[in-house]
Amino acid sequence: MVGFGNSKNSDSDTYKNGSLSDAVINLDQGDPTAFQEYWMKIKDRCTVVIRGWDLMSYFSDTTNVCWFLEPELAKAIKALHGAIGNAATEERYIVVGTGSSQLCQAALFALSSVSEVKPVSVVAAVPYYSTYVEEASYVQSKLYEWEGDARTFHKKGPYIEMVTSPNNPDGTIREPVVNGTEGGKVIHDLAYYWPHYTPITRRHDHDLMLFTFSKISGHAGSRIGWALVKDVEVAKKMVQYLTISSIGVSKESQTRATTILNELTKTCRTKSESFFEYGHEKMKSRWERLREVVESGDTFTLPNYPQAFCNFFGKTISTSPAFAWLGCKEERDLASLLKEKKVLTRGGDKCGCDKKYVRVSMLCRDDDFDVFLHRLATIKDLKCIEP
Amino acid sequence: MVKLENSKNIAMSDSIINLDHGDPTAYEDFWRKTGDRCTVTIRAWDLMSYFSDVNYLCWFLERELAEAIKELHGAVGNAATEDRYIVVGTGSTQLCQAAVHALSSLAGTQPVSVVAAAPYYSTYVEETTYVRSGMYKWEGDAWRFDKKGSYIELVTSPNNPDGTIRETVVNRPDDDEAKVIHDYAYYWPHYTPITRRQDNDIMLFTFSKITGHAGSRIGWALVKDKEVAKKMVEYIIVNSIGVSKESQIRAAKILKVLAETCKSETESFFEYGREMMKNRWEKLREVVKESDVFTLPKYPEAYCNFFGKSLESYPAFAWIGTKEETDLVSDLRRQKVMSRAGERCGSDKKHVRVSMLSREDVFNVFLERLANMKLNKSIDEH
Repeated sequence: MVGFGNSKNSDSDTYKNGSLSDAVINLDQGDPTAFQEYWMKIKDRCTVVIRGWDLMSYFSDTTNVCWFLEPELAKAIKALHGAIGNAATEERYIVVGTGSSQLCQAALFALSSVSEVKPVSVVAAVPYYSTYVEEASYVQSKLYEWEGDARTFHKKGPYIEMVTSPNNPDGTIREPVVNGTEGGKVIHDLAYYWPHYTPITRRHDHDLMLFTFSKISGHAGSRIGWALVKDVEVAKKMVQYLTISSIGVSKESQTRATTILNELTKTCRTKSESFFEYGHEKMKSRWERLREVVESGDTFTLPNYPQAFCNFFGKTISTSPAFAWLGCKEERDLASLLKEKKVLTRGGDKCGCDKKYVRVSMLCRDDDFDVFLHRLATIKDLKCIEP
Repeated sequence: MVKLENSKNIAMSDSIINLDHGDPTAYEDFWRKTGDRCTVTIRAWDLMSYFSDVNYLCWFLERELAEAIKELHGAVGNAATEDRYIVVGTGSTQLCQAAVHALSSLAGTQPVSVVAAAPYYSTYVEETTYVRSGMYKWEGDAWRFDKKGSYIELVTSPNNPDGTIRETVVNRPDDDEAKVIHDYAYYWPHYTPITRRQDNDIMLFTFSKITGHAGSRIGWALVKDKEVAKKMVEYIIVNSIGVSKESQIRAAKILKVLAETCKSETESFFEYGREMMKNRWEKLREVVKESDVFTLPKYPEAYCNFFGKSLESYPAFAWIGTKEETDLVSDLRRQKVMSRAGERCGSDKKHVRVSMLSREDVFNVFLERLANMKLNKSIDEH
């Protein structure tokens, strides 16, 4: 079981006696606390008030395929996608989930349920989101089976390819890689396809697209994700999964997400207020600082991302992913190396790749990020450090 | 085969009433009357992190909620919380699956058999079969279970659908591979006398059925064994990376108010709930008695430690049966009343499960339609 068992250091410890803290910095998970400062600045706007008798029923809208989806959230989702232009919402069913984690599993369930042949192979191109492995295998379902790297997948029969774009962990823009003739389905995980991370180059219109509230605004604790689904039978099956799994999704969270998403839409065209402008600047600045540290030595590597015209910002910009895919020029177990420096990261081996890579969260608090850069900069020459 | 027919026109609304599920909207009135007391205010920057308290085994559990849960169980005296781990879930639905997953992960052999004594909560069947896990297998009625090997018995008490007080049915006291999950969704004083402080290894509770806040999707498990609790937490992490913190904060507030007011007769939700359930059951029993067609279980009185007196049971669902052979779910459907078929609960066509938690007006329409159903021997069918 990866990642989440690690303890987290507290903010107050970061600067002790005027110097940087000695505490463990946890950059293994993508806890998006970086964005908290933005939300603290807006003060009373977006305050959500829930009265004792609100939202009590299981049911939100029984005329909808997704009967536990709050209508206001559906509207807010469509409005945001409309404003950003990153995904088509027309002629699609919105399915809400307890995070896109739950939705991904709902999609695996749905797509494999409608397949005549089971188990359905599940693949993703290396390096992949390590959690897909757990999601596709922990219940040992006979409906689907994790088959690993999409690039080397040659098994006959139905398959589901997970395409994450921008990719987690390496931030690259992805397309499906399996050259399947028939029986292949694709789940597009667009968690990071937002202007603060990457240029919006087109309006995606795939059959099944996943999004998560956590990575847009940083509200990971709400546990809200949504899927835009073309096929009504697939949508129905996903809803069936979510019904049995948890009889729907927290309505308090849905209400909260509605308020925040509406705020995002409302302010997105005003530079001084726009969360996306703020987020873009923040990510850009962090990446510049990280690249500076990496380039000042000869130890590490970082991917290069091509610039592209962003339809939302109306200019050519770079990609500043939520995770840094940090590599080591030497063959080393980078996660262990960094752990010795009290920086926790996710090893590349967990992402189907090798140990010389790690995935590092770029979404931590400012002080944690400062400490991380400082410690990274102290690793000048690996030849001096025992492997 | 006899047919139940409508004997006179119904003056009231002609729409379909759905009593198939247990949507607990009956309690809305109470919460409206509490005004601002349970209002929750969430600011834009609150609750953003994945993490609640890294010192807890269940690190996505909000401290406020953990404390409110312990306080409430302490006040009501229905379950032991000491020396246990609290695991929060997106409803007890998610927790039940987490528990089955956890126990199966730790079992000596797989697949682990999963059983429940009929009539059982029909959803257990779906919960244990939909993903076709190789780790466990639904084996149906616990009364008829005689397979060797690891098994899990789901004991719901008061039972869903029939409201009876339950104990384990598969009794293998020397078997290490015998595991029990106790579902105490309805073990609260508004439904049933609190006769003892339960202290089983795995106990499930749901916010939905205590106060009626089903939309929040909050449940919790009280788990004795650390390894089981860890495995349940792992399940919930992969399933949904934890549980909505907005819901947790809301539940914490409401549960706290419950604990604070439960000893005051005028303010106590349990007092209110009990009166409401009592009232509904009395009306239902009257209709059933008049009709002479239907049956309802009888529940023994028992001393309730919470209310300090001998009380009856008023379950959240009515397990209605017919004296004669019939397909009751279909007959009710013809009267535009949706109910849960007894067959889905491992029982027969003569029985249905009907929610007693609908809004007052819906409940009254149900009683009317039930009262209008009379036994009619169909000449054509023999």
